[in-house]
Amino acid sequence: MSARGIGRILLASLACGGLGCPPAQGVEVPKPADGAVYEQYVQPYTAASCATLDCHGDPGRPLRMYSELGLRGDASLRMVSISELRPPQTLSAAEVSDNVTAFSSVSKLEDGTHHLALLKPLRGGIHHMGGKLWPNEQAPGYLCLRGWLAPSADTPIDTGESCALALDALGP
Amino acid sequence: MKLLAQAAWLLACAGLGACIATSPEEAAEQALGPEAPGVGRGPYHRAGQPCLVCHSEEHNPGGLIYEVAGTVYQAEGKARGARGVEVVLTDAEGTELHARTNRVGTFFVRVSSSVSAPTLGGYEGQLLVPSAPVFPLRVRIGPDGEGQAMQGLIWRQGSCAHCHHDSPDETSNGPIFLQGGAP
Repeated sequence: MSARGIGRILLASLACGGLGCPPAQGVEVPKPADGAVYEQYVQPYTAASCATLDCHGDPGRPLRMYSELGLRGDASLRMVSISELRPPQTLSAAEVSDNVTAFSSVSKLEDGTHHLALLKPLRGGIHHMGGKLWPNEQAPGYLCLRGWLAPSADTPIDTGESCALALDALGP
Repeated sequence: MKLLAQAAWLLACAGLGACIATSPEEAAEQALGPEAPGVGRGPYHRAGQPCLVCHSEEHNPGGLIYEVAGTVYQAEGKARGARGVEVVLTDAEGTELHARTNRVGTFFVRVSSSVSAPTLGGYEGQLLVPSAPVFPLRVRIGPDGEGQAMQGLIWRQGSCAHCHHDSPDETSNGPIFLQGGAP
């Protein structure tokens, strides 16, 4: 390959790295999951279990999440330190929508149960920096996210109950 | 075109050289800036900064490895550290660790084979433990039953200042301070 060709490849790589490129051919981007279900049931659990500032509340994470105690979408949403006397502002509609989009933008494999947000925290699944949060597919936390991300008429899941149990398990 | 290709090569090499010369950990250390004037290296330095940047398994130019470390201030505004504050850490296995802040408000938890139970000592602010706490952690500061509890969990970051830095904004809950004033 000529130096000219190599130079073009390097420039293209730099451009893609800086500007972002569309997903590769053949990778399916799923439709947005139900935002109402997410906001009511899933968000409280993911806020406590996933979205802390030291985990997915980091704006650099591929799956970035906003939460009341963690990352906010705008500095105006946290002007003072949070305390028992100064509770946090509730999530804005834009933050909730962005959270749903973040989950929905994670490429899934052939079926919804292979969503990375389901596989990575599950024991035996793909490596997860945050460790294995769920010992098996019966864990309430797993069912909470699966019921929302990969609902199935064949194996119905009570998402609300699962998320509540998962949140309770984290303690007060 | 030949000049363009050569320029592209030079840029690539310069970038690669920068990557090799400075690790992310070293970059984080450099970002902390210099020591405060008049404060030497030791348990009283860099109060309010993320301790594990230099005191972790991955990078420890400080020579000591901490599991958890941070600073508590007397009041909002990050004026003075709060000395003698009890910091209670409860790990995922229910083990409670009781650290106590030093004269600049800093505490640090370090694993040591020389202790069979959590022991305060060595340096002011240091808590030696026989084994590392298991994340996630719950935290409370102040006397038993009367302290202020952190509302969230610490899942993996041992430096309090990783999340509690500068002023409150979208990426920080602000410094840790005693809401009821200094004890």
